[in-house]
Amino acid sequence: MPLSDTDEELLIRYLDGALDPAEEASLQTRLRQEPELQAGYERLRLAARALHWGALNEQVAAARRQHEAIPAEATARKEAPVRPLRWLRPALAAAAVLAGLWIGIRWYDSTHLTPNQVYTRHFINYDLSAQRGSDTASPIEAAYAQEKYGQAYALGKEPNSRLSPQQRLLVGLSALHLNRASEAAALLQPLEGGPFAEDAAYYRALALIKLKRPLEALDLLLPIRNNPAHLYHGRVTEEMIRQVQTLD
Amino acid sequence: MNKGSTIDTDIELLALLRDRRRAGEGIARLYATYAADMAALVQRHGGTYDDGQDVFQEVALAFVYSVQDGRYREESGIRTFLFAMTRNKWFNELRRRGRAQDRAAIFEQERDALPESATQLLEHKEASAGLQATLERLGAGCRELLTGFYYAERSMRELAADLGLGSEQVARNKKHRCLKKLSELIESEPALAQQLKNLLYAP
Repeated sequence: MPLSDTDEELLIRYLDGALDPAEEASLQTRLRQEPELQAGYERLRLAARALHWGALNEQVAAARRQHEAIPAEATARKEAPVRPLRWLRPALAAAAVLAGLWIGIRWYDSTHLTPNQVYTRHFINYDLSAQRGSDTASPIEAAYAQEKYGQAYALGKEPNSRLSPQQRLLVGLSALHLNRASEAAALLQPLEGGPFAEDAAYYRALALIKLKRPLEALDLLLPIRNNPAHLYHGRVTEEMIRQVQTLD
Repeated sequence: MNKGSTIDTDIELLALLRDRRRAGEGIARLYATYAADMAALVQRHGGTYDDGQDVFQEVALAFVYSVQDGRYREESGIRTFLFAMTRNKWFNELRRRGRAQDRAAIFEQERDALPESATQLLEHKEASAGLQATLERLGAGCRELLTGFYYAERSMRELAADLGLGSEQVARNKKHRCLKKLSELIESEPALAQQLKNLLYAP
């Protein structure tokens, strides 16, 4: 038997927490005694919970669209209008053959690289002009800027030296320049979570490649590849990922 | 990562997710902080970029619901919990695709134990699709009013003003009619009603 409008109204107000204590106590007694009333309440409660799930589902889908919007915009920008000309067809066909050949060579090349070759191809000198943090150059920064990596490294390893995050990054990078990949990885790891986390992740991945630990490097590189907002997103290409995967 | 800052970040994020009026901001932050890492986990275990994003979308929904419903008890950090959910979800997906062989078998050994209340929330595709169709049948006006009240926790006065419903009482009457209609629509589909009960009530 369907519930009366009065009971429906009462149940909704109970669900909304809008009954006064006396009304609530009276309804709770009825709910224990009247299975149909209890079933009606359960139906309304399920509907309210379903609304919660439905709204969250939409919010999460919107967050995903927003998160993925950057690469979509970037792709859209790349798609410039093209007006093909008839006489270009033979030339395009020849170009396609050459491109296929080039891709084949690149593919062979990218799947037959040593860790050192992958490292060398992707190592870029850290740009001190884009530094964040202190305005005054410390001795470590000055040495690094003059490419005196041995000196920068020695300054960082001095006993009792307390390094700022930026100095630690530069000492880690100096270690990389000096072929001390293991020390570089150890120096860069604590920077995760700080202001130089993105730089540290990229360069630590390079150190791990050099150390022949490609799976650990991938743990750092894939999040960069998947995050268009990451400082090094443009550097971590699909080709780089493939090269590191083949080192495994 | 610095442990102190992780804890602070977790606390801030959970506060945002629990505040229904700011949950959207929290979900965006959840995505910015964790989506790339979780998608990478899927990619490391045989998935594509799209697989990673699909899995994280489902994990994010289940996680935020767990937080708002009080099922996430903070016994592990957010990252650890999301990793466990992502592993579970992706392993189930591999099994569904019939690829539970070498890679998946190794993956299974690494799979973390999750509370039943969390695993239950990970398998929701059918219920979510059925619910979405039902909410569309309910109509945009009802959906907006009910969602505003039961999800966003907005007052009847605010909703009456924003939705141009004249007065608080008019808005309240409409909300009652809409909720009744939604409960009848769900009841008219017993399979959906059961799926929703299984999904939304903690075991």
